[in-house]
Amino acid sequence: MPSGTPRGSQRPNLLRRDRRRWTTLLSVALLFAVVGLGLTQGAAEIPVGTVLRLFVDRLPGISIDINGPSTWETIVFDIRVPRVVAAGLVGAALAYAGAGYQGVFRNPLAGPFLLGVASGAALGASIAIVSPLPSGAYGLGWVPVFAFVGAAITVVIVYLLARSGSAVDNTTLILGGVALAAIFSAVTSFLLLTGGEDTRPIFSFLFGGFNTASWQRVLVALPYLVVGAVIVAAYARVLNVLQLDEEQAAQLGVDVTRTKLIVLGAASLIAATAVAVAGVIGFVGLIIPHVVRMFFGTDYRSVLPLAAVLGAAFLIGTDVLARTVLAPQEVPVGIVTAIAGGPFFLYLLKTRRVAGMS
Amino acid sequence: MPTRMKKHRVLWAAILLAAIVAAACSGSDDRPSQPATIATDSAGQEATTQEAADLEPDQDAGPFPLTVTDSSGADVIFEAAPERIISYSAGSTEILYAVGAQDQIIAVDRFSDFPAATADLAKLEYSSPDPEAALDLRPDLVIMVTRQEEQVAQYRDLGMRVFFLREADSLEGVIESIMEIGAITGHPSEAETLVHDLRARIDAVAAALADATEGPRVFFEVTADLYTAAPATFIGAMLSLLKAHNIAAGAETAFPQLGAEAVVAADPEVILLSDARHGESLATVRDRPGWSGISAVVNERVHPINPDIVNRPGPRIVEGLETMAMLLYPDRFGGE
Repeated sequence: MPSGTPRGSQRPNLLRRDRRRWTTLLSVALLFAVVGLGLTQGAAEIPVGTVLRLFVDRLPGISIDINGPSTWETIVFDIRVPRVVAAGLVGAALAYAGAGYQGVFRNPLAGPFLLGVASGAALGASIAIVSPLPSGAYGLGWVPVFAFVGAAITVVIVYLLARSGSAVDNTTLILGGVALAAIFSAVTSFLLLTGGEDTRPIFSFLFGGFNTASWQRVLVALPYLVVGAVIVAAYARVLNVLQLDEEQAAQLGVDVTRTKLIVLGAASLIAATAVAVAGVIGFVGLIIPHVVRMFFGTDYRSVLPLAAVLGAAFLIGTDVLARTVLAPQEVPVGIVTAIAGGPFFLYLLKTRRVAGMS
Repeated sequence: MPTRMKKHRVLWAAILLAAIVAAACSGSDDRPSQPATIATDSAGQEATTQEAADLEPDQDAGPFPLTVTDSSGADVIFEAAPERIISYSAGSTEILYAVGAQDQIIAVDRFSDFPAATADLAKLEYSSPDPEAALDLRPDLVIMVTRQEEQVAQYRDLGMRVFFLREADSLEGVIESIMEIGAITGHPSEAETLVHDLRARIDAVAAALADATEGPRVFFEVTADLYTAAPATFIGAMLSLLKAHNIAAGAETAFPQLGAEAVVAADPEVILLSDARHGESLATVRDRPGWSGISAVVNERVHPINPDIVNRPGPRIVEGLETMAMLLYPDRFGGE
């Protein structure tokens, strides 16, 4: 197995490793901080101390007095905890899948929705919403199932389009994804326009959100996310080699087509699951991998896990904004990710170079 | 050169032929045996004679000629009662039927599904309707509503008489709409009778609640992903009239989306499900994480409500008010 670790002289490498350790610790600390925010902020004004006491009370063998209504316990454990977990998982999934896509395409514009996952999922969800099927907003209703199937079908079509013989052409793959996305978005718009009075859930889906997050949905999604993540992780080294050049990688013994097929397939599985859970949330999958490479270099063995950590932190944080800025009203989180994340990303873009992209 | 010219000519001829064939086909859709124009004419005549027969003799066709200023500020002139009306909203259609103008309607938008007789009428688009389809029906009155506001000028430029009705957002507004539609269609007295009856029913509800101080906390669910109706909507206005406390009070938009946390924290005493036809019920609401302890769920006061009787600015809105009153105050309005 060829190693993709960038080799330099000993001293700067050590320094860099030291700095990397700190930034890694900082990212994890950031994740913990936003989880704390996510559990203590919300439409219901529960004092931070009470939230803490509620958690302590749950520890085995400890029982303390909670001076507050019993609904607070419900709110914290049945609503906020699953919501934070769902936002964290989806954020991690989107950023992770985005890193996988960018690794395969070596293109800074690549994101988890490049092959049409989002528009396929949106069309599937819209069909479920305008159909007379029951909505099942909280559990595993038809909407996430249709969304997942729509996303999967889209990726398969794009794949079949781009395959010629044993090779898969990047340009055809991307153009196929873009074209299919355009077609499916048009059909979704048509459904939105003609669907009558009950098309609001389509809007919700198009901007994503966690206002009806539940354990049930998280638990159903988890196996797909884990399988996808493990597969992509197994190819982290190969992705490093792939960064050189497809031809060179092939000379080094990498089966380029197979790698592309497997990594993109697994990343799409992750992205499709994320979209099925929370709707289309843009921006996370595109910018988080860039941010990670800016700070941590281009080794995919660390880019992938760090993208997951920062993606989770970013989406939990933006979801806190989504549910508090206009409380009790919700703002679709996809709008917040773009408004809050966009300027920050532009700032980074201006002050640092986009790392690791040819 | 000449051959190319010839080729062009052949091409043009082909296109022309195709166009003629297409036109003939579309014309022959309704009446295969007759040319398109004659078919429409005879249909028009039929309609006219039928109306003449239906007009009640004591109804001296109202106070025509009549000039009414519509919601766009335009003065719409009526020399006689319109006999070929297009109604572009479910609310206006229900009003037309309720004031007895049903035989003057020739087409409605596709969401007009009440009363059942609307099924036999020609159906037109609701959002961005096609003026060509309307023109083809030769209407003598087109009633457009808020959704079609941008197209009012377009329709007028095409020579159609448009009465623009900005959709009411209060009960009083609906009553005004009924009076206006009654007047311009030649049914002012029917409209007056209807309005009298509606007012009496509204007053009865208000009287029964005169001594009520604080009504129940209510969550009005529009969709299962927790879209609801804020006070600044028709539904919100009715809830205020019923002295209920709408838990969406304070939201910025008319139909805000709430978080599950906001609903659970507000602990509504009554939940009204206008999404019941999408499968939501007391059972599904109880199954939502964290919802089982909400007062409305514990006391089984989660009720389906037909959205058409609370959303549409038409006469059935009073039925909606009465239904909500019954669900919010079962003790005052004779049980659930």
